[in-house]
Amino acid sequence: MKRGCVTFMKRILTILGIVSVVGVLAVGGNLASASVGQEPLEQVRVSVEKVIQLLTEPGLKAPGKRGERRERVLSVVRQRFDFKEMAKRSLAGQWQKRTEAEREQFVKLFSQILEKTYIGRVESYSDEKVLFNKQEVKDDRAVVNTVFVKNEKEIPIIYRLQQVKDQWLVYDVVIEGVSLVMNYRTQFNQILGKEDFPALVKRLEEKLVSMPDDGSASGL
Amino acid sequence: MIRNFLLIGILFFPLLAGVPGHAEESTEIGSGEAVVVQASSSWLEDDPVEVSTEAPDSKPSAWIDPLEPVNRALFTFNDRVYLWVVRPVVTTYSAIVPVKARICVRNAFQNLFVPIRLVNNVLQGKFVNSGVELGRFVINSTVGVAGLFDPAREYLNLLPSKEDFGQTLGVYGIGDRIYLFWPFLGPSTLRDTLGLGGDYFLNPLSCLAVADWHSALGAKSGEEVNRNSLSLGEYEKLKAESFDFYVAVRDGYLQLRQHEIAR
Repeated sequence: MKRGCVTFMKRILTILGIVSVVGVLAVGGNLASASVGQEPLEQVRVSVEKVIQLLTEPGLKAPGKRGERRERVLSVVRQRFDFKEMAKRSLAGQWQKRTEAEREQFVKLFSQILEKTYIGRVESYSDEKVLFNKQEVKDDRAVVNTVFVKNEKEIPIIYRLQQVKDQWLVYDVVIEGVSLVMNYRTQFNQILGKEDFPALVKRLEEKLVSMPDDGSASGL
Repeated sequence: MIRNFLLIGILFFPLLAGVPGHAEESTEIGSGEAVVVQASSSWLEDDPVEVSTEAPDSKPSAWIDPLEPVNRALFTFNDRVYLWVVRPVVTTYSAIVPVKARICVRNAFQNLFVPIRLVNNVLQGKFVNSGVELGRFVINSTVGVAGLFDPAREYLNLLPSKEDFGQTLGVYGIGDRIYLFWPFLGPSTLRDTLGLGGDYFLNPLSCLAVADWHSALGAKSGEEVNRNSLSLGEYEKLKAESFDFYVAVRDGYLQLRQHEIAR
């Protein structure tokens, strides 16, 4: 009688085990397909978390590893940010007037500046929290709301994205209501109001040289 | 003036108590995040300028910034003051005082300035946020040890909602036509400068200034130094990243204010 009871329990446990494994697989499969699929928030989250993981990895913290860490962070960033689209939007009306070669040169310079800017911003990362709040999708456009918590203060950061095939690519970042692309555009417009396009390109070249390489713009 | 504002405040508070349903909803998300939700929808739409074929137009800047040469001179002045005076002081201060303590100081000042946020929330008809501000003040002044800590944020997710008189004037439909750059105070507009006047009467430090302006100036400077110490290096980064730093700051300020007024 006792033995029968034990066998019965074992059988029940086996069935439960199988059910839960199947359940986990099903849920896991769902999650996997969600992150591969069309969710902009998930894609942004994966990229941001990858960057944070690289920045906090003890093995990459040594000064000698800085270059390697920077390259690995940038390879994640390049997959998520559409620098060409950012350059195009920052130039706005001027973009149409430029030749293909001019555009290419501008995108190349601007991308390098954006990369340096990004590295300069994230390299000081320590233990700040990033919350992923919500997404809004309309056709091939999306907005992902995140909150960056630093020194016990919430800073809202909004990513504006465009869908390219199965990927959502960032074309603007809005920090506390200030759009990065809009800010660049105002600056470029002001410069182009007084100078010609080659002069603007020259400014970009100079900026690239003068921007600190080590991400410590403050020198502090 | 102060008396009038207080009167308005007292008149409105019974109304605040009468909206528990909304308050619950808002505290659930946190007032700060609710704000983002509202403003973000517009970011889904394309900015018409981004796709236009029009040539860049320098007119809008002349329209918003007729005093550009004067502003630029004052901007350079402030830049020097920051680099030569403020930054060394702030750097020394942040080396001596630990971050946690500086956050406490910031919290205490934030708690002290509650009348500014409270009254302007009421004036803009944001009664839920007004209630949140009042609740924050009560909790943080008591449980938060005179505002040094922020248990309202930490445990109840009650976030402060920055509102000032300049924003209130903006909500009332007064546009920011003329950009002004003030020595020491930094970027502003004609409207926001008027707003500073209004906020002056709601600032507890102003009462102190009447009695002892040395202490009030000391407290205000202390607040500035402390606040700057929590974003040390930020200014230098912005400067290094921009192509025309003056324009970058002006556009950043105007965008920020537009966002604060629209939300």
